[in-house]
This record gives sequence, structure tokens and C-alpha cells, in this order.
Amino acid sequence: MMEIESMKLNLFLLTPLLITFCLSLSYAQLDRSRKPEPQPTPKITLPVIQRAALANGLKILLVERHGLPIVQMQLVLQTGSASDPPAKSGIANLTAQMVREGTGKRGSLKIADDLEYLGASLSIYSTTDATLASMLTLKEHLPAALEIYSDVLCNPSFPDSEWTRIKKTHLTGLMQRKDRPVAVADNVFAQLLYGSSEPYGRPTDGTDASVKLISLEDLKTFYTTNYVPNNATLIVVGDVTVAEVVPILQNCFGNWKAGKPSFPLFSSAPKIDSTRIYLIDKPQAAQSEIRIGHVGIARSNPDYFPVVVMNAILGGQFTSRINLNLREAKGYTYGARSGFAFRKEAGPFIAQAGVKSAVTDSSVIEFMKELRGICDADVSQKELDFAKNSLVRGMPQGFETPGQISSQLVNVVLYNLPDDYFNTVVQNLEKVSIADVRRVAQQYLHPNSMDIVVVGDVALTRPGLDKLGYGKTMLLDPDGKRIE
Amino acid sequence: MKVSLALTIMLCAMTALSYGQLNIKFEKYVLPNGLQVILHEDHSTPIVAVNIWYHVGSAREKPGRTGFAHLFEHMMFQGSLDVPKGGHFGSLQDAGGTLNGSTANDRTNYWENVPSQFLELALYLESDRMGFLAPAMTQEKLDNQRDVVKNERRQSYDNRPYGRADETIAAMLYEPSHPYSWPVIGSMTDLSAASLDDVKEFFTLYYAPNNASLVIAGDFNPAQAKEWVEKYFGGLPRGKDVDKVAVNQPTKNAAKRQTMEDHVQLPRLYLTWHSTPQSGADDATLDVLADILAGGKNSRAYRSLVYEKQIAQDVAAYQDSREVAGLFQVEITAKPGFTLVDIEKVIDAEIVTIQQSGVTERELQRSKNSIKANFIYRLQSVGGFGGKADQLNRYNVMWGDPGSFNKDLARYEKITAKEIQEAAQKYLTKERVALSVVPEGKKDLEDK
Repeated sequence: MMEIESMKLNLFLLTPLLITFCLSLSYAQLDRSRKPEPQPTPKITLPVIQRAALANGLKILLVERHGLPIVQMQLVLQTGSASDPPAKSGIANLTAQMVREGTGKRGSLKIADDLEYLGASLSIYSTTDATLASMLTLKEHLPAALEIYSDVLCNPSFPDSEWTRIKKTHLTGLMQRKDRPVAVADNVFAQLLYGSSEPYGRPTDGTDASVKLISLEDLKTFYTTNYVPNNATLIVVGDVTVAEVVPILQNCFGNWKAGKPSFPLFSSAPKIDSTRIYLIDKPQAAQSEIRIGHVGIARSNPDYFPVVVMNAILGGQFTSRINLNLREAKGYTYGARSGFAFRKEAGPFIAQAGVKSAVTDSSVIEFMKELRGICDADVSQKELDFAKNSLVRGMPQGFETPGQISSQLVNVVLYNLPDDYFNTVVQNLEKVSIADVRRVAQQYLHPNSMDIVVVGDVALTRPGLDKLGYGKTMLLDPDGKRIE
Repeated sequence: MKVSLALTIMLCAMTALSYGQLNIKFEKYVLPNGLQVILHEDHSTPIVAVNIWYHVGSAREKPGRTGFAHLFEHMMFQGSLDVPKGGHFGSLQDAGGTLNGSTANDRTNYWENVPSQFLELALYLESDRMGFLAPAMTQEKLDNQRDVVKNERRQSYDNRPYGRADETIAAMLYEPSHPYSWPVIGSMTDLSAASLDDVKEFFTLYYAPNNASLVIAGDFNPAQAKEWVEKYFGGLPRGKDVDKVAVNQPTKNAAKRQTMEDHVQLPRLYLTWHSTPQSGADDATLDVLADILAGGKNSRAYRSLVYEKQIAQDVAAYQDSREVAGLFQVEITAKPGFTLVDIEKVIDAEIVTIQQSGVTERELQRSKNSIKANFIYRLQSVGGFGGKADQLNRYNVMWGDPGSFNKDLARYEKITAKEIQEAAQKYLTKERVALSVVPEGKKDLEDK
């Protein structure tokens, strides 16, 4: 490594080479048993949110992120599949698909061609609570990309021929859903928790029966009611300023007409009297998909932070109790976890895994042991510190790319968080105590009244599951109907 | 990091866009023990990415040990001499970091993204498992991760629709002696056979510093990082040189046809041809051909099969180029009521049309524009799979120069419509491997 000649020739080289030499010496005494300590924590600057609005009510949130010549757009409509009429679930989702199938000036293929030619990518979809239209474009094409984006969102023409095709393709997709045990388990679980015609109980993409009932007129009505600027917020993140983008947005979205958006009607979820197991047959399945849980809490719940910390310890990270037990200690699964879906209203709490068929009953036992364990005893100080460290120190990673920043802002928009919200997260997490974790576990986890859904080989798994003490398992079909 | 892009003139639709320079600044040096080190600063977020590629994958597996390279990757997370079991994940998650690893045919990669103040921890952990994994291996750890990997196989392949198609095609396409003839995930039998001695042998042969490439990317001080690299990696001993994988690109396709049943609702057709490895002159051309054939709504096959005739639910095509060989694949799922015979006629006609009449300038330009944009979009993250650190390592290990971003993009810039047509003629021949996956008990949908 050391070339003596070059040392002679260049004095500047001398110093670094000597340092290297010293380090090599110190290496001999390197004590590897001691983990290095962190350097001082750098100052973290969270994005500054700038606000603007158009006269028609369209709110604009902008975060400047210079460096790469790209801009991320995210239009958030405050209406999702929870607003679908009960018998016609799938309307929000299908409307989102149809807006890009034709406008006053562009056909379906032309929309796709124009976007691809710019290298811009567009995705439009509905969740239970919202409809999101996100577009990523190079800065140099921003005006052109925004013109197509607004054309799709403000002037869709809902062509008959495209609807026939989209509907058929969508129904075929629903049929293929049966191939995926994960999708079957998720859908049946939501139905059991909320009821099959409730806002959070219906699948976002609908069912075969509900989609067949949907007409193009239904989509047009949904569009006219909900795709209105006073129901929308446009998040813009990237290499752009308010001064640059607002005039373009005025051009593109200025003529979008305000309206009266619809809101979902929630009724209370059915009460679960005692923990029961529901089984859906997937003959010869290599694994059983397990879902365990009940209705959780809304995003607005004041215990949000203690619940996040509690769940991190329970099943929210790789080193959580559930994963360390079922994956690393027992080897039952490739991964097990738990989580609260925080929504406008109370979303589900779910503990889940895909497990080897032969250990389906043992896996349920371990899940229930962990769910009871976190209610029945305090977590250790070490576990608490670990969960908080992981969440607090991990924060900057959620703000690296324009896409990540815009996802963070979607939460601000949907759940009415204050603009300085991100600056308060650390102190809110730090405040959580061992007693808080125990309290929220007892308050929001109910191991004695949970629904357990298993999608797997009934012949193989049922005998074991029947003996777990939750009564005889109930057989359902893949649509969630009782068949026995 | 600086990326400067030349302005694009969209009005000239028939003129090639002028590609700018992807100026990813980096410094590369090599330790005396052979470890390649690449540093790339990007201070836009207070995080730093550590990424290591070991130039070993499933292609190095011995007969009867398929899946071993990946099983070994799992063992790398189980602690090393100075890091207890659970300590690797534990310390990084306590630091607010994220981490993962993956195994492919030709390489295995490991990464962690940590808040800037924890760079030394990440380097310490990576060096400890590079230097001292073997002494910490136990039968218990191996048995546990063997179970986890078998569960991964169940979850990602056996219990997933069409999940066993790729390994079936690989076995049809390659001679059994070719290392791409078996899947990275391996077989259950071979996973069961893996022993502690196998772990130690593999570690000695392939996990020495001279078979590795380390990237540090993000918010860090380079002088400090170099000190730490020297401190933690400098004393690890060099291993034996690793020879190149001694096989080549099979050139002659054999016409083969097979049907398999699966737990699926709809039949799917896979057509596969030998193509070129990643170093092949036609590699980028085949990427563009795949995009023009099945990339978006206006692609030839999507438009014809899915949009107009509506006999297929979806279609995809790609050039999968690896280190010693590549393949070109088209996959199409039939809509209910249509057979794979219907589908195959239409896809064949679309391929023949490209072979006979070529592609339009608009199609070519549209593909190039999307590809160029994606080169930029890929620079958003410093770490993780496909982030800048991972790309620097890919270019370093596979291209011999971490700064190959522009060279890579330039491959696409110069492609002509004529080259696309010629590639279709040369590669998409009648001698191909056709696999039909059909719903159980529905052999009548079989493509004869």
C-alpha cells in the first residue's frame, strides 16, 4: 500500500499515509466487544409547509425540495370508498379508474401516450377515506404534465366503450382475488368486524355482486358530487416554489367548479361477544393466512402516540414481541406483525401472519399469548426505550424523497393535523410511559373478544383450531358467507 | 449531489431528446485487503446509507445445495463474534435505522439506512459479520433460519398464484449444469440438506473483503468515514481470489412446451427466449423492445390483447439480463372465456409485425423519454434497494465503474428503430420455451 517514492515526491501525501499507519497499529488493539457510541444528533429540519388557495376553494400545500429536478403532485379528495352506497361498493374505486379513460379533448390511449412521452407517471386510486391522484414529473415538463393531470381530474368524459372494458377487467380482477389468500383474509376480516354493508366493512374494490349493479351514471354522479375543488387539497413537493406553481395551477384548475361533496354514514360496529375462529378453505395451501383483531381507534384518538409505541413493542417492527416469537424463536413464519389502521373513524386493529399449515393452531396460541401478555404485565424500560428510540430516531427517513414528504402531508390533510405537527411528534413520543403502554393495551386490545380469520387447508388445520378453546370453528366461503 | 439536465425541446417530436449528464460525484479506493470502498456525499437529509455487495449469488451453489446463498444471507443477520443473536437487528432499530438484504443469481446485497450520527455503528456491524460470522454460527441458528426460509418459499412461491412458473421455465430453458437452471429460493430438499460446514465453507470462499464492495452514501464526513472504514475493515484478512463463473450465454434456443396446473382462476402463457447477458451489446435494445411490446397502454401487445380485442387481462414483457446470461420473456393472462391458443396467435402476430415493419419513431422516443425520467427518479433515495448506494455498487461490481450512470443512459440514447427491429428478428425466434399455467383440472385450456 505504501509507496515510498510517492511519499518523497509529494509532501501532501505524507499526512494521510501516517494516519493510516497509526490506525493500522490501533487496529491491533481494537476492542470489538464495545459497540460504537453515536455522534452528536444532527439538527433535523422538517419540511416547512407553505399554503395557498385558488378562488374556487382548492387548497394548495407546498414543500420546496430542491436538488433533483423533479416535482411530486398529490391531489387529495376527502372522499373514498367509505362513501360508496352500501349495495354498490366499488364506485369510488371505479370512478378513479375511469377519469383517466377519456376527457373532452383526449381519448384513453392519448392520455397514456401524452404522459409516457413526458416520462410522467400518474396513479389514481381510492382508499376507504380518500381518493388520491399522484403524479411524478420532471421539472422541465411541469406545465405540460399539469395540463394533462388537470384535464383528467377536471374534464373526464366517461366514454361508454371504455366503461364496458374497465368494468369487465375489474370483475375479472375480483375473480382473481380468490387466488390470493392474503386478499381473501383481509376482505373477510373487515366484513366480520364491521358488517358487509358498512363503510369499513365493504371491500374498496367492491364485490362481484356490487360491481355488476354499478352503472356509468353512478360513476358520473359520484364524480360530480365529490371531485370538486372545495373537497380537495393539492400537495406539491419538489424543485418548485409557490410563485412558480400557483399561476400554472390557476390556469389548470381555476375553472374547476365547486360543489357539495358527500360524506359516509357510520353506524356502530357489531359487538364481538367472545373470541371466535372463522375458517376459509384453501385446499392444499402451503400456508395459512391468519388475521386476529377487532375494531381499533380513529386517528383523532388522543392516545394515538401511546398506542403507536405500544404497538411497536407488540408487533410493529422486526424486533417486536410477535415477530421475534413467531419468526425468530419458533420459525413458524416469514414474518408476523400487528398494526392499528388509523383512519377518520376507528379502523381495524390486526395481528397477522402467513404460517406453515401444520403450525396454524400453535401460531394462534402464540399470537394470543402476546396479545394477552402486553395487557397483563408492564413492558420493560428497555423495551420502551427501544421502541421510542426506533420511532424518534427513524423520523428523518420518512422525509427523504418528495413522495415520502407528500405522503406525510396526506395525513395532515386527511386528519386535520396542525402545520407544526411534525415538530411535536418527538416530544409526544418521549412522553409515553410504561404505565401509558399498559393502560392503552388494556383499553384498546381485547383478547377475549377478537375475530380470528384463517385462510388455509381446512382438513389439516381445523382439528387443531377446534381444540383451542374458542368454540367450534365456523366455515365461511371466500366471500365471507357462512357455509355451515 | 448534482444532477444537471439539458433542457428538452418537446416541440421536436421526431428529434431525439438531448440527454443531460447524471453527475453523481463519488470517490473510490481499495483497501490492501481488496475491499472496494465508494463514498458519495448527499447532505439533503440527515441519514446515511451503508450498502455492501458480495459478488456471490445462487450461481455459486453446489449440486444438492440450491437455495444456499440465500439461506446464508439470512445467517448474516443472526449475529457474529461480537454481536449477539438479535444484536444486529436490535442495535440498528434502536438507532432508528432500517435494514435488509437480498440474494440474486450473481450477487448478495446488504444495506442499512441510519441517522447520520450512527454511521460508525453501521460500519462496525457490517465489518463484524464480514470478518467474524463463522465463529458465531450454531446449529440452532441454522435450523431456525432454515425454517424461516422454507416459510419464505411457501409464502412467496408455493402459496402465491403462478408462483412456481419462473423456476419451471428456468429448468426448461437451461441445461441442469447451468447455474441459472435452479431458482434462488432453492428446493425444500436442498434447504433441508444444508449443514453448518456448508455455512463455514461458503463464508470462507465468498465473504472475504476482496469479494465485496462497500458504498457509504448520504450525510457524512468523508475523512471521518475513511478512518472508520480503516479501523473496522482494514484488519480483515484477504481471502482467496474468486474465479469467474465458468459458464456462458446459451445461444441456441430449443422449442419446448409444457403445461402445469396451479391454484389459479385464469390461464397464463409465458414465452421465453435466450437473449443476452447484461454486458451484451443488445441488452438496452431489448429493454426498449420489451417496453414497446408490452410496457404501457399504447404498447403493441397491451393495445391489441387487452385494450382492443379484450381477450387478455394483462400482459408484461421484459429483458432479464444477468451476469452470464439473459432471457427475454413475455407473459399474458387470458380473460375468462379465452384460451391460451387465442392469445398466442395474437402475440405471435404482434411480434411478426415488429420483425417485418419495425417500430415508429414516436414509440421509440416515448420509451426513451420514460427511461430517461426513471434514471432521474431513481436518484431520490440514498439507500435501500435500488437507491443511489445500491446503484453505485451495481455499477461497480457489474460494470467495473461506480460512475456508469451516464454510460448506462447513453446506451439507450443511441438506439435506433432499425436496431429494435433487428433485435426482434434475432432473438424472438420460433425456437422458444412456452409454459402454460392453467387452473387445476382445466387441461382443456391447455395451449397445444
